[in-house]
Amino acid sequence: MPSTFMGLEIGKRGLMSHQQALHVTGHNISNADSREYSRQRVVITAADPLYLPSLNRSNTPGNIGQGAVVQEVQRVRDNFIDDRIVAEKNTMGFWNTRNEFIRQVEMVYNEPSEDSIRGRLDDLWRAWEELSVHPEERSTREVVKEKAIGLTNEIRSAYSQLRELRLNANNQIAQRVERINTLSYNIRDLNERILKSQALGDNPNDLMDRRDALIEELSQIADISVGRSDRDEMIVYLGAENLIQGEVVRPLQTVMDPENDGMLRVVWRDTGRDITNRGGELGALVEIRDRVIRENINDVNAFAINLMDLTNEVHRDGFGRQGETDQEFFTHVPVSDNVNGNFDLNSDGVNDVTAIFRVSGANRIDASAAIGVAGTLTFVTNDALEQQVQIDYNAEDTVLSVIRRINDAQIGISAYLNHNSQLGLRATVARDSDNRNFMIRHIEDSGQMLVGLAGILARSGPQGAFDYHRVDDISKFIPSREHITFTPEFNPASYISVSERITGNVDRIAAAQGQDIGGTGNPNTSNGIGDGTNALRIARLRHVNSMVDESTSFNDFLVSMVSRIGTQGEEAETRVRTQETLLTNLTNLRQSVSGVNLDEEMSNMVQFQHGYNAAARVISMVDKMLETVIRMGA
Amino acid sequence: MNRITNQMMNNTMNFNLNRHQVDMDRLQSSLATGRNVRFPRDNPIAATNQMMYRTRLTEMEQYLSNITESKSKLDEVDTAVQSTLRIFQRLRELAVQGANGIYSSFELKEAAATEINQLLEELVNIGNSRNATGRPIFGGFQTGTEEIPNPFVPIYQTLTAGNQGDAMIGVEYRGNIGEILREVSQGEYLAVNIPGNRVFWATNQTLTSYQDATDYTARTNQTIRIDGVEINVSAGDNIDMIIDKINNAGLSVRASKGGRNNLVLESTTPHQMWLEDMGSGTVLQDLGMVSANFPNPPNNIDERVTVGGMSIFEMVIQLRDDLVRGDQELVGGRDLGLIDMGLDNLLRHVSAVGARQNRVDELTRRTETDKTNVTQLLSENEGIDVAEEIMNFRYLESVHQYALAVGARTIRMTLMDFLR
Repeated sequence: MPSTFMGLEIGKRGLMSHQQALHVTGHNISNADSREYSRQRVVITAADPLYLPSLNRSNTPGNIGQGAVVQEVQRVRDNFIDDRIVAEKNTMGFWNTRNEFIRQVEMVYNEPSEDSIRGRLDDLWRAWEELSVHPEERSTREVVKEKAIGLTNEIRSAYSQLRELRLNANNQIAQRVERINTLSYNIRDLNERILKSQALGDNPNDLMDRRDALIEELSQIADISVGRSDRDEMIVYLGAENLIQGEVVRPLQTVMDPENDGMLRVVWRDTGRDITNRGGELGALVEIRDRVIRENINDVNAFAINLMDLTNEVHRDGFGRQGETDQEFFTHVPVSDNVNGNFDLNSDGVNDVTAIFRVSGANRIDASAAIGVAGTLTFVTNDALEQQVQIDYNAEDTVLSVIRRINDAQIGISAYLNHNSQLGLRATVARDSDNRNFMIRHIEDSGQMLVGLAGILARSGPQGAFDYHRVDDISKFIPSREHITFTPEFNPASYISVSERITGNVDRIAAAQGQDIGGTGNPNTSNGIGDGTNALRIARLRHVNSMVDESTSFNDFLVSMVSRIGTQGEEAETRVRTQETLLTNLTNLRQSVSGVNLDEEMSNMVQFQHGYNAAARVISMVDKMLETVIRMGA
Repeated sequence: MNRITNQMMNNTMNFNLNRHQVDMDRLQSSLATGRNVRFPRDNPIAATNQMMYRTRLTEMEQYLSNITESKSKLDEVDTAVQSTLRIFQRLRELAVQGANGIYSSFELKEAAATEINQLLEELVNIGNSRNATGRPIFGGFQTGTEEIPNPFVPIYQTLTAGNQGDAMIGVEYRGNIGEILREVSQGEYLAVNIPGNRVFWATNQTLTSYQDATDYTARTNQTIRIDGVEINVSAGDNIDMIIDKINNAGLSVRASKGGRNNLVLESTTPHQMWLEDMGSGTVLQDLGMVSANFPNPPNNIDERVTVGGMSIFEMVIQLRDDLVRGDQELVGGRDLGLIDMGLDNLLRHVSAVGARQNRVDELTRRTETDKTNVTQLLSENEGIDVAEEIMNFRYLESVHQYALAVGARTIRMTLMDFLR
């Protein structure tokens, strides 16, 4: 037999559950505009019925209902959508960052416009042509000087802007690592609080919302994934390793990498090993810094050193207005201060390599005639492995076909025929480390092609091979010092300039060719001041396919640089736009599940209000009933 | 999606409005600048094309300026050679008159000699004529320095015959054989001068060495240069092989073996031959052609070499001397013949210069057409279709207005307006 006051109790329970429902509705409405919030739902269930299976149970039929209770406050959330968003935010962070930086690299080149390296280079070629037309005049020489200075300024400024960008990316890496650590500690703290709260049987919905938001922010920076299989321990993986496991955080740190120009390397603080991360803002920054910008810096460097060296090579052979010869046009700063090109590569105080950028043969050769000798050239690849690469040649080959084979082998050496039809070998950008850029590594010939024919190496076979690991190996070459260019000081684009001897006296600009009088074996007398053919030979460099792999001219090289960065920019922008649409859709999907709809809350509110009012009515009805009973006794 | 929230509607509206604004910004900038590429990323292919077209344009502008300059250089040469022709007409008259014995009296001889000397001075002046910037045009690369201001240097001597006083007895060429080239199109070069040793030469030149070359063989590989063309002589080559190499070098020089097995060089068009031993080579020296004592061609011929042929100046001097001497036979035979040979040579150069002038005209037309084409390509590539862009803009404008109107109405409606 139920108690007289049971009705009051049931009414009270109804009041309380609806009150809580109204509070939660209020909470939902208040948070209608919080980004990280997911709507909450009060689950009202019937209270356990009064039913004691014992002998003294009242002998009435059925369970006696005990009203309603709030079973839980649910967070309406779909974790699968969350995981999708985590993954896509990561991609978004990657492309967004990449996009921003590539746009800045594009701005460095300032194309398409006339105020660019290409515009300045065109001006310089024109100035050389103009000098070839009026070699007697000082005015045309002044123009060559000024245009060359303009070009070198443009190259130096492009270099310093790229360098700035690279340092900027590096700084941002440090900031991102700081941010990852901060976020990780915050997530760890939330893990702790959530675990404690759950242990008490509560639903810490708002804390979980905040944690999800932090994870999302983290995913934008780095390649993370979330392990939810263990209810008590949420795990955040970075790559394949744990970044956060429940209440344990493994922080990251940055260390200077001497192998990479003192740039920062991201490692685990506890093990010191590199993290594996390719995505997110951090991945984009590392890739931008070490691939995209580095590639562009190296290209500008290659452009500078080749312009410098090819111009100087022709310029040295020419004669100035007063018959000056053997003058450099652009200043060449060798990396080594040693007369044999010896250089201390590993900075231990002892010279350990012979640093040579270019060597040109002593003999003139007919490029299209059969070489008539057979043998094998041996080079090494320009990466850390330095594997041997062999290129065979036989008697029917022409010099041109061998040149093509050397260039096609992509071994960091490009072969070319210079203005005197001598075979030249030049080093390119290294694949392993920037401080090995523009260094010839190994040249060996089993036959006579480089020896007797081209006049580069003094002897055939391994005994006569040049190898940069040996100091004083310049002795393996036949040509005299003026046909050998030492490796330039790192980053030639940062200091390329017109030689002071030229800026000091423009008469020294070698517009004329010369002749050999008295049999010295080297032209020593100018053809006369009316001769502009050397200026014409320099202007001809414009069309010579002499950049890097011998198949592009200077202008083509610049065009391909801009085309590459433009295409990368186009791709980044497209990816950002696609990713934006994708994320908008995913966020909408989540909003559809978790978002607060004010109209819905309003109608709920009205509903709960009615429930509350009704429960109150029940209580007042019971009150009246009790009053009736009490009156009976009075 | 079945459930829509207020935030979603807001997001959708903002997303779309933002997208329109980005497009509008792009359209605005392309309409305002008239260019379709701001950054290479906007259209990498168009951007790189523009770079190449611009480079090509600067190149062609330079070619055009080179061509214009070439034309004026050639005109200068043409004018000079034409005036030489006029002097030759007068010389020929004098020679014909002289051959007919008109200048028999002493006074007449003196008058003729004076006139010829004046004409000679005029010829040397033409040989030393200067271009617009004041540089000699017939010196090859030798275009006037303080030491050698002129390519032709007359040598005077006091002559008593004909009472001439100081008169020219020879003219030395101090210029060189440099061909001044202009790049008139990619990889195409045009010579804009004719060195004086070709224009002012009357006959073919013959050089006969004194040296018996029967036993000569070259000891090492070396190079000789004749008229600026290099000829490689290999170790072991004998005189016949060297002669063969010279004859196969494509020169207007014929080599042969003289009666004493000596080397004989003969030019096949009137000009002074230019002989050089290159580097440390001594082939021509060993064959007795050039002397180590005089380094500079053309005045480096060994004294013992028999030189045949003469320059225009020497020819005129010879005519004068024959006239003064009263040798009618020589004047009417040899000298008149030489004048005709000289005229032939001059006419040959006039027509050669004319041909080059024609080529320059042709090049001007071609380059200008090319330039127009490239300019057109560039404008097609970087320019925008204004009508189309404006149409796009108007379309975008209306869409944007709809979006604003619809958005404003949808986000305003709420249940609260109806609850009390």
